[in-house]
Amino acid sequence: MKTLNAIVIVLLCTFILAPTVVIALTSFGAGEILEFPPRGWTLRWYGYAIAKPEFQQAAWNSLWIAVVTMLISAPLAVLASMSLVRGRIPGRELIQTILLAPLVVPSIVIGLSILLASARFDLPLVEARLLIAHVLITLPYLVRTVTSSLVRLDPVAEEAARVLGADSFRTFWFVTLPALRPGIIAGMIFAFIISFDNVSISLFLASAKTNTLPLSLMSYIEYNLDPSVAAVSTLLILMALAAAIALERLAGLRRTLGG
Amino acid sequence: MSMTKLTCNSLTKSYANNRVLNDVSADIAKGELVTLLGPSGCGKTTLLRAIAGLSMADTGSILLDGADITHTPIHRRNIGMVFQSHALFPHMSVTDNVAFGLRMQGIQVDERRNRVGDALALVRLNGFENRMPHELSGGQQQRVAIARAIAINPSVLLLDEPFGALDRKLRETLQVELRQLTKNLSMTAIFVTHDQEEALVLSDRIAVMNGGVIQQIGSPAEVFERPANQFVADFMGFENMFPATVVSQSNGTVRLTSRGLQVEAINDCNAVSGEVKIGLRSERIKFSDGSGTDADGANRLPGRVTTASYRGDRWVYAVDTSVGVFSVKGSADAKAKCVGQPVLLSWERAAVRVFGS
Repeated sequence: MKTLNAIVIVLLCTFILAPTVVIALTSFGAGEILEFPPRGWTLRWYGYAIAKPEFQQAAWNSLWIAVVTMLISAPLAVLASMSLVRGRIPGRELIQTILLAPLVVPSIVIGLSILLASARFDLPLVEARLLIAHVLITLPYLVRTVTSSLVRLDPVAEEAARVLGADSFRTFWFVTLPALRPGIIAGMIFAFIISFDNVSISLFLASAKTNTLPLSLMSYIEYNLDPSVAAVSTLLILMALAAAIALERLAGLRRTLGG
Repeated sequence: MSMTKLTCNSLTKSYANNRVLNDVSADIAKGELVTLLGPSGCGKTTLLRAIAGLSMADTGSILLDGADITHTPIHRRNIGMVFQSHALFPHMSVTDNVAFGLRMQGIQVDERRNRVGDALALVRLNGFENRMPHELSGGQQQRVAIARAIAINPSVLLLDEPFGALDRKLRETLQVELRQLTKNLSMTAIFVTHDQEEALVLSDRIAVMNGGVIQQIGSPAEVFERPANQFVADFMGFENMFPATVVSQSNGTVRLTSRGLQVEAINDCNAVSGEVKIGLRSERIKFSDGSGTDADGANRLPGRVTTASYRGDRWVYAVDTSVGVFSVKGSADAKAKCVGQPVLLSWERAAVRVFGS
């Protein structure tokens, strides 16, 4: 039984990790096209990809969109969680479900509907509609992590702060917010990664001006199949890995994800 | 000395149709420790929270040091409060927890450090300054909570069943410590509990509450020995309560009958008549040998032991009599009675309390 267990676990991990390993290996391929296993080894595709202006511009777009998305989503999620957990508002369950809905609705549908709506309402900035969409799909993750931090905080601690002379703002600032920190950090990192990696929504809403890295990779692959895409992908994977490690260090990944 | 510190003036509060405070008034003197004692839902916690400002009374007023604080916001009342769930700030060290109130008052770092040190010394927690709350035991956490509350030098210290979650031995230690602490600081304190023993140990005065009303307020001995009514008697452990009828009263002595038994009692409070209840504490009943040498032989009753249970320091018997089943305490060193053994119960007139219905 134990051996069977071990075998299943090893197979599962292999299955999960295999695509990542394949991509990482092909990115070092010396050939002119993507191939696995590679015939020889080189680092030149990294240099090529990093120097490529389209990728540079797209990476910058993805970066600032992800950062701004995260910075807009976080305070919204804190406010939403505060009223969902502490407030006495009617229809709380319903509001919670609606807030988490973007997790369930296919993001292609979200992208399409925001495209239609922004055309109808004549939204002037392409940046704005892209950001709105990204905030929409990242908010559920933040609400989830912030809420789970908030339910862990004994509301009596907030009362204790009030009695000790803190007005409601200082109570929030010194007692509530620090208790939410792990949830906020975890949620922000999730939001960053979700936004940075997103294809389906950006596909509808990005323009030449706001072309994101995943989009530019996609269009690059249509005409070129050299290992530079694998190099960029590997860099993206490393970034996600770094974020996960940071998450574990700062907040404790398991604690933050736990309900 | 008996300067009034805190006054509650006919406080009333209802939730929906449930009146949790019903015209509650009380004066608490400076340096006094008063417990609010009662079963859950009696209004004791609501009263405490109204004083803290955590909930508002519908009508009535609260005076602290002569000033009306009924509508003063919570954070400007200068009150120390200790909660049952210690309510420490989980992300702050012991020092930062204790310093929080001082920080909110804008007190400078140097003085803050001194006063935090003093407060921790009072609860004997020096050396724990840099611990986090989750690294402390339950008793230590509650000590930090007490230090945090007294560090701001509050006008009044409120404690809401602070030892309720602790084990018995620790609770007893902390009760003694808290009493000493408040006496040394001459700090006025109000302590909420449902445990009558805790109230007896701690208090200068006990306010027994039920149904949103203070049933009796008095010294522990007063409340314990001379409960004002049936509820207080029941709550303070009058195990034996029987219906009785008043036959006559003279010179402070009341003669009653209870299911055929003649009972004499000393009535030192109000005149009673008609149908009443008589109460007897189990430790005030003695086993008589029938020789007539009892101090006050007026009250005697034969019966038969139906159960005998050993409690270490004493025996507790149930004795079936013509009036009803009596609970009687016997010392552990005396020869134990056997189940089925016929006995003669006797008690002094002064042991009988009479309650009008």
